[in-house]
Amino acid sequence: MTGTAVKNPVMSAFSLGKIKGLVKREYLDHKTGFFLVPLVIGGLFALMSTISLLMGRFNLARMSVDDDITLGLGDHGLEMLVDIASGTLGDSLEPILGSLMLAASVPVLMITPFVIVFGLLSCLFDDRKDRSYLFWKSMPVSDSMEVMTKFVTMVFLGPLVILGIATLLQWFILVTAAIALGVQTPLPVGTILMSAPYLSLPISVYLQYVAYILMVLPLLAWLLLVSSWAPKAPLLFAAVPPVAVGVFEALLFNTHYFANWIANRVEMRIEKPGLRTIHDESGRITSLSTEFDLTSIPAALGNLGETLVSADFLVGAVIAVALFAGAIWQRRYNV
Amino acid sequence: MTTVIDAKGLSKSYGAFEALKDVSFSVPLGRILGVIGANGAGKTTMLNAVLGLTRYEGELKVLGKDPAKDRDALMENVCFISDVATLPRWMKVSEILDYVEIVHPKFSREQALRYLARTKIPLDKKIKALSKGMITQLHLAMVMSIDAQLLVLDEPTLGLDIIFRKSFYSTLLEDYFDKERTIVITTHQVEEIEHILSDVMFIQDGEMVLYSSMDEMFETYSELRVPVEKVEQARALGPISETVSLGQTIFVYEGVSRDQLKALGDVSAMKLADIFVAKITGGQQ
Repeated sequence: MTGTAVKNPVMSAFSLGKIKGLVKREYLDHKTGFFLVPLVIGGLFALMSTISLLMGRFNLARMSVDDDITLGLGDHGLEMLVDIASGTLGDSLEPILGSLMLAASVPVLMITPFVIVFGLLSCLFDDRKDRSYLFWKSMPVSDSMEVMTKFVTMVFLGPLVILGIATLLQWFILVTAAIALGVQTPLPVGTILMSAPYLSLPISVYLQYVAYILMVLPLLAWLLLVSSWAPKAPLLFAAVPPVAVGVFEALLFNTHYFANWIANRVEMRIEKPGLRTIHDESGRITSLSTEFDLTSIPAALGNLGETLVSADFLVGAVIAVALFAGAIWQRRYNV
Repeated sequence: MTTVIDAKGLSKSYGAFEALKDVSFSVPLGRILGVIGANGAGKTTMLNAVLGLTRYEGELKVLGKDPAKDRDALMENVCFISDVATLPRWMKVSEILDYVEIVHPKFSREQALRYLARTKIPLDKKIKALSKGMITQLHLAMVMSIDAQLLVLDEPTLGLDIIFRKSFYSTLLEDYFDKERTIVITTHQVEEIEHILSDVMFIQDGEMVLYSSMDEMFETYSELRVPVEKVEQARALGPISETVSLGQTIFVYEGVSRDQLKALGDVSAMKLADIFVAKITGGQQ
């Protein structure tokens, strides 16, 4: 025994400490998108919701997801909530509350795709532009670890912060609205507050999100590759090649396989998270069903599992791995 | 003696352009090597190969490792500052210290804070709020707080004023360098580093034209000023450079004994910059 602790080189190369440092750095670099912007937007919506509650307005958010399917309930939503909560309409309250809560936080969640797309396009490009890669590369961190932590932070970890802020907004609006409604309407507040999917909604939304990300993995990996390689204007370099391929295919073969392939991936693979409503002539909702229960964790896990074993995902994963390897190679030798 | 850098037949091409041609050298521990060359001579290409930033042909070992394959492991014992102000401008000073502390096992935050206490650098400011000189001071403070065996500095003070440049090199020499470390420096301000170098390498058009200890080099090269009547005799001794200045002909000799030259005129030792110019241009500037 020498009494000296010798570090295992493999453990040292993949140490969790290093990953923590890299993730933290990446988060700090994109803190505006992951934290400040959602916080400001969430704060504004919380404020607007409070003001409208204080003024006695109970307009429930409503937005169309598809024909007949809405997120939130809009006009007459309150009457319906009263009916359901008091057992008249007979539906389960949890998914409906989930839909309402999700609708309340959509303005915050909508930030996510923008932060991810622009974040991925800039994360390796900016290091080259300001020459800070020369500093990052003076640290004992491999290029593959560098590139992959950037990707994982941008795509999987940063959005958790946005989701966290969205969840706080959901809780705030739910509780304040329920209390305000309880004071002024026959809404059974206790039932509402007891039935709300406080945790199952964000967990299941995140699982659905991961399933979606797995489908668009090759497209996101392409953005990372462009970021590592584009001499300038990465957005342009990301857009032009796929558009060119699509146009050439259409002109030469009169087919649209490539464009459809991309469109199919971008199009939401997750189930429509809305409510299907049937109204009577006066506009009152007579029937309501959940299109897809977004508060169900088992359903979200099932969807994730199906995605993982789907051929679409596997083909996409192979392409993504090749694009990741290209991005790492580019970072390693050709910056 | 530990060899820090061992290069055999190191070459690098960019398409048809050969940036580095079959360069071989070996740098032991405890030296300060100056790499001198004109712009585009291949200095940065060579250093980038040593640092694992570029691929190359030939054999290269740095502290026993292949830099192209093991850059990340190598960086535990090698530090470098390439170019001025490469620190990420969006980070705060305290954040970058946090980062290096987490990812670098040989970094001492206490040491870095001690160095920074001597400067006016505020820890809570973003790097982009610092002057170029301060960014260089911060980078140097961090690099000196890493217990590495090799430090590579590629034009680390370009564009900084003379006060910063002087203090940069004196800090490096007084607070950092010892027999357990090797420093490799490239700079255009040759006069400013001349006194700290132990060895020197000249690079021209991708080829290494000289590698020598400073002592040996000063012994080897002599400058001779001769009156007109002795010019032919002086030429016969095979100077590497011949220039005319203020009516006198000035010859530079490589490896000719000073006693022999004294008979022809005034002999003097040379400055590093003058040796470089004579060796590279042969007086044809």
